[in-house]
Formats: sequence, structure tokens, C-alpha cells
Amino acid sequence: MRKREELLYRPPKRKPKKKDVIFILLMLLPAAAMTIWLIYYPIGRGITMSFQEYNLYNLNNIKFIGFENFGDLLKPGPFNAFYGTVKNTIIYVFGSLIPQVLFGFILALLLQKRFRGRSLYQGIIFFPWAVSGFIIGIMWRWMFNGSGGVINDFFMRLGVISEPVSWLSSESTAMLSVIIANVWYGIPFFVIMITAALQSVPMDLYEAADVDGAGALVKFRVITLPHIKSVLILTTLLRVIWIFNGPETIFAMTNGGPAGSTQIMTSYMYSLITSLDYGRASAVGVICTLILVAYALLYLRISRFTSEE
Amino acid sequence: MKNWKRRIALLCAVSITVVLFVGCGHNTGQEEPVSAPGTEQESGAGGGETITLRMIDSLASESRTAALKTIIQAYEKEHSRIKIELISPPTENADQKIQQMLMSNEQLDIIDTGNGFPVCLNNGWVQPLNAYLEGWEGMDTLSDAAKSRMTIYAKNGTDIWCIPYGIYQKLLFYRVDRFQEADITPPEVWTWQDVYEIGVKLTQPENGKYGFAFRGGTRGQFEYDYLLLSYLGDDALLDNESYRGFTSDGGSIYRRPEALEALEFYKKLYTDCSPEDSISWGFTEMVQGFMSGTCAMLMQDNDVIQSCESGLDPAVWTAAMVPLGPSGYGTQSCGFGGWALTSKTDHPEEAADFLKYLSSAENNGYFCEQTGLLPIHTTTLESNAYFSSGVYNVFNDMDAISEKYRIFQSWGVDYTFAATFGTDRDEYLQKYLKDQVEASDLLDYWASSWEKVAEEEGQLWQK
Repeated sequence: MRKREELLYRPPKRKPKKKDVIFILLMLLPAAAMTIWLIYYPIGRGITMSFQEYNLYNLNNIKFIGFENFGDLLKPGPFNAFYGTVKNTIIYVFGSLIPQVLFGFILALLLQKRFRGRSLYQGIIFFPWAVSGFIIGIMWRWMFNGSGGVINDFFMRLGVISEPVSWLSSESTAMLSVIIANVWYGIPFFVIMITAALQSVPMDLYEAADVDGAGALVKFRVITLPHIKSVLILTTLLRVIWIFNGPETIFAMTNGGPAGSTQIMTSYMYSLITSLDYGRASAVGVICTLILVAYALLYLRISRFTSEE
Repeated sequence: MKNWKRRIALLCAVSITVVLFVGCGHNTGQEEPVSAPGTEQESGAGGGETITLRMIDSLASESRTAALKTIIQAYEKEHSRIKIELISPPTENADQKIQQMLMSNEQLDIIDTGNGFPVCLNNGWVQPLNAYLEGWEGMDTLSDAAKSRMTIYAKNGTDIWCIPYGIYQKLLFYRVDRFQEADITPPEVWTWQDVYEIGVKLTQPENGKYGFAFRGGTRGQFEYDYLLLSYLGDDALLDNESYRGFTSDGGSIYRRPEALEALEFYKKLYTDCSPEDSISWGFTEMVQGFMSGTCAMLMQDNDVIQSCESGLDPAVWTAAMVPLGPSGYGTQSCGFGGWALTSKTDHPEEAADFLKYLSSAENNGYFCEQTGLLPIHTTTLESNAYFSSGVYNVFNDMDAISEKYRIFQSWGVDYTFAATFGTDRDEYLQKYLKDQVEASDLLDYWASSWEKVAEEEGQLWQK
């Protein structure tokens, strides 16, 4: 059998004319310029600022200070706020992601069945994804309100609690509350993606499995999962990055409180920006980027994801 | 033909690249001549050029914008050459918007001092008003409070960086209905101990009723600082009037034993008299807590008066003088807002003239009446019945014992550290309220942070 490469057409090699090379480069220039200005310049500027004392409070005093911003952030001690945000970020990201994937998967599987009003039901499920995270945060803040919130009212009527719970003002419940809001927000994304992936699984495989007498679990493990594996890997990877980079729900619900119990790295970065300390905020941004790049590489390696899948 | 197309494509590509580079070019912010988009030649009857002044508000609200527009329209009617464009961004990020516009050399002639004025001052984006205010008749009727705030940012004590448009002063609001229910007679002159004891009596968590509307959320740190100032003895201040966060020997105010007492009292107010939720309350939640009757007492500025007047039966609420602390002094707010002239304006004379018009007794009185602020002219306070009726009388009572009140000042503003000091401060105060941090450790952390900065940069507070 001939090798795959041999079957591919290869044009005859010839040295491109210098004039053509210049022409091609010049034609690429607008796109390159736009990419540089809109993506790489801000990244470079952010990295530079992380090594500077850059405080909007006094722009006449901008200077390079080496790794001092990183040192301040990482200096251990009882008044170090940064390590707490790292721990909170891990809890928030994975605490939100796992239920999102599970419920998203279940709903997507349920939506595979044909029933009356399925399109309407799909629309209702997808709705939260169309709303801004900030609006969702405000909405859930009122629902979790300790004095007049609907959640307390609901549980009190059910007799689950006897007096109102201060959901967002207690460290033990604040993180749970923001995670619940974020799970609610993120489920539609997985429903959309997994539904689309499920539709690409050939039905004849299920029919063949039926003929062989395979049960529902076996069909799920042997047919469904392998076919949607690449979608699952990419969507979970993307969602982790988005949850990590999306502090707007937290910002609207608790602003990182109480006592920093819901402060994640990106919301902490925002609080540094509001106190005009762009240098330290950029240092947090650089650390976030490094963590996410490392996570993405590790995740893709562990899941053995390749472009051919 | 093919060559033709190639050349056109090439020309387009290069043009787009050039446009991109020029358009996105970094503005150095140097003293380049500022383009004046608002200036345009007019060939109308006036013959001269129409000047557009751009003015930006930091605390925009419906009533405030409407009041400003009314005054602007009247001014434009009298000055046909002048057009005034009012920019009213959302309050949450208005200060950032002002700073970004000034940084990028966008035309702005008049800015609201808002909460971010030291940034504008430190970066040289505003100019003193002294020369423009010479001979202004309004100066003679300005109240002492307004005069003191005109020069509050002056390092040399004389530079006028803004004309205040209104003063915020604190009052102790309380619910008469809740007091009557509990058969409590309010004291004539309040102390913080009274607030605590009455607060405890009025707190019934099982009924969702509390004594005090505590502020533990955004800017809750200043509530502690206000409290601290009414705890400090005279010897803790630089002199009898100045409070700069440092004692006369150069140590931090947080080293004083009163700092610990005040911090412990601050916690007692939260744990014994306030809703647990109030650990994250800001301005809105505090006012809602009071208006709904959940909390019986509220320490807030005079701009709450309007909310109470419009939302509550006059019989159920009133206000009292600010409580005195163990030092025998109470702390009065130094809150104010003002208009400043940017250093980048092309029309300083015209902008200053409008500022004087806006700040006249008549226009300022109208503006303050619409927005619930205290006016800047003594004549307005005396002649306008609105400002001498109802709870506004409490300000007169406080004036009568003004020697009992210290004015809280934003201190440390000469140091860049002032901007970053507040970043984690609300969070650590919340940790203290939740027993995660010891009071002494917290105070030591604040004190050593300031002492380190003062050691590195010198004692700028004595300027």
C-alpha cells in the first residue's frame, strides 16, 4: 500500500520571486498591524506595567521596580490577600465547572428525546446564556438577600429553616451562593455544545448496538462518550478559562466579601485597578495568564487531545 | 491589467497599515496643543466664534442633571457665544472616566471633583482658580465651610483648586416610631455610648429588627476612621485642628490606645446592634435598611434627607446631632463636591465665568435644593426657608456647639500609598468583625504600613 504522503499532490518546488515575497508581506501587513496593536501591544504593555510602579494616583512617578510587585503579592504573612484569592479561585472554578458539566450533560441527553414543545423548552434552557453575568449577579444578589430574599422565603415556607439565613454575609455560605448563581448561568453553554455534539453521533451505531443487545450504559460508554470526547475536552477547557476570567457575577453579588471569602484572582485584580495600582494589578494579570497557559497545556496533555480527534 | 490590480491592492494595504498605526498611535500626553473640537467658526449674526465648553459630572443623578441643565440653559440664553455640553456618566465609574479623558487629552474644561480629585491634582490636570476669582462678589457670602473646602487640597494653603457646589454633613437619623414602640426617649446631646445602648434595646433579631444601620461594605473603613477621631485626645493630633493620620511625634494614629478602643466599639456596634448582612452594606443598603424600618438609627449625610422626605411619613423619622465620643468631641464630615477648571482648557476665562455663574447664591441655592446638599452661601442658608426648616435645624444646633466637632479630613493624600491603602482595608475590617484577625494585629499592620511610607518619603503631612 502506498503511503499517505505519496498520495498527496506536491507542486514542483521553485524559488519564489523576491517581488512576490514583498507583495505577499505587504498584503499581510494590515492584518498583522491590527493583531499587533489590538492583541500583542496590550499584552506587552501589561507585562511591562507589572514590573513598574505604575499608579494612576501619580503618573509623574512611574519607574521600573523589577519583581517588587510580584514580591508584594507573594510575600507570606497574616495580611497577604493574594494566597486567599488563589484558593478561592480554585474552589470557585471547579465548584462551578463540575455541576455545570453534569447538569449540562443530563439536560442535553434529555433534549435528545423528541417531545412536544421541545424547541420552546430548548429556548428556555438556553436563555440564561444570553444574559450578562453582571445582571445575573444582581438578580441572584436579591434572591439571596438575607432580609427579603426569595430563597429564604422559599426555605422558610418549606420549613427547612426557621429564621432567615444571611447567605451573602457569612463566609460559610457566600461562596456556595456565588457558585450556585454561576452554575445556573453556565449550564446552557454545556447544553448547547453537548446537544450539538450528540447530534453528530451516527444513529446506525446505536441501532447496531441494539441488535447486539447493548444496554443504555454500554451504549453511552462505548458510543456516545468517544464521539463527544473532543467537544467535552475543549468546552471544559474553555469554560475553565472563562470562569477564571469572569468575576462579574462575584462583583455584582458580593464584591469579593465578606472578609474576602469570595475574592478570586481576577476580582482582586479589579479591586487593585479601582485603587489605581495598575502595576500590582498587571502583576496579578501576568500570574493569571501563566496559570491558565500552564493549565491548558497540562489539561490537553493529560486528556491526550490532539487535533486529529 | 493584472499589474494594475496588484498596485491598487498594494496601495490599499499600505494605506490601511498607515491609518492603523497613526490612529492607534500612543499619545504621549505631553504638552501638545489640544485640539478644540468644540470651537467652530460661526458666520451668524454674532460674528464671533461659538465656544463649546465641556463639563463632566461625577455624581450624576436625574434631579442633579436636570438642575444643572436648567442653569446651563439660562446661562446660554445670556451668553449666545457659549454652548455648554454636560457629560453625565454613570456614577460607578465616573471618576475613572474623568481621569481617562484627561489622560488622553480629550477636551474637558470643567470637572467635578468627585472622589478622584487627588489623582487629577497630582497629575497636573487642573489649575488654581485664584486669578479668576479675584473680584468675584460671591466670595463675600461664602460660608466658612465652603471657604475651607476651597483650599483643602492646597499644599501652600492658598491655592483654590475648586469652587464647592454643596456640603455634605452628617446627621444621626432615627426612627421615631421604633423609639416610641420601645418607650425610649432620645437624649438631647447624643454620645456613641447612647447609640450603642439604645441600639441594643432596639435589636430583636427574631423579629428582623435592629438598632443600627452599620456600614461594613464598600468604604466601611471610613466609618471606623470617623469613629476613631471622636475617640482621640487632643494630644493625639498634630495640633488642635489638624488630623493627618499621624501624631505629633510622627507615629501613626493607629498606634494610639484609642485606636484599639474605637475598633472594639466598632465591632460591638456590628455584633450587638446591627444585622449580620450589614457586614457587606454600602450606602444604598444602609438607607434601605433605615427606610424599611429594619434599622432604627442611621449615620448619614444630608443627602438622605430628600429620600426620607419623599419615602417616609414625617411622623416616623427625624434626625439628631452627630454623637460625641469618649474624647468629648464628635466627628463631622468634610464631605463636599466642587467644580474645578482643567489645565488643558482652551477657554479658561469663559469656563471660569460660567463657574462663577453656577456658584452664585441664587443658582447654588436652586441646585442644592434640588439635590439635598447644603448650600455654600450664608445668605442662602439664612434666606431660603427650606434650609432653615425641619431637620435642617439640627445643623444650626450643631453650629451652636461647633467647638465640640472635629472635621474629618482625607489625610495622607500627598502619598501615592493613600490610593492603595484602602484596597484590602474593608476586607480586613470584615475579617476582624468575623473574628479572623486580632484587633492589635490589624492596627499594627496599618500603623507600620504608614510609618514605612513616611520613613521612605518623608513627613509630607506637615506641609
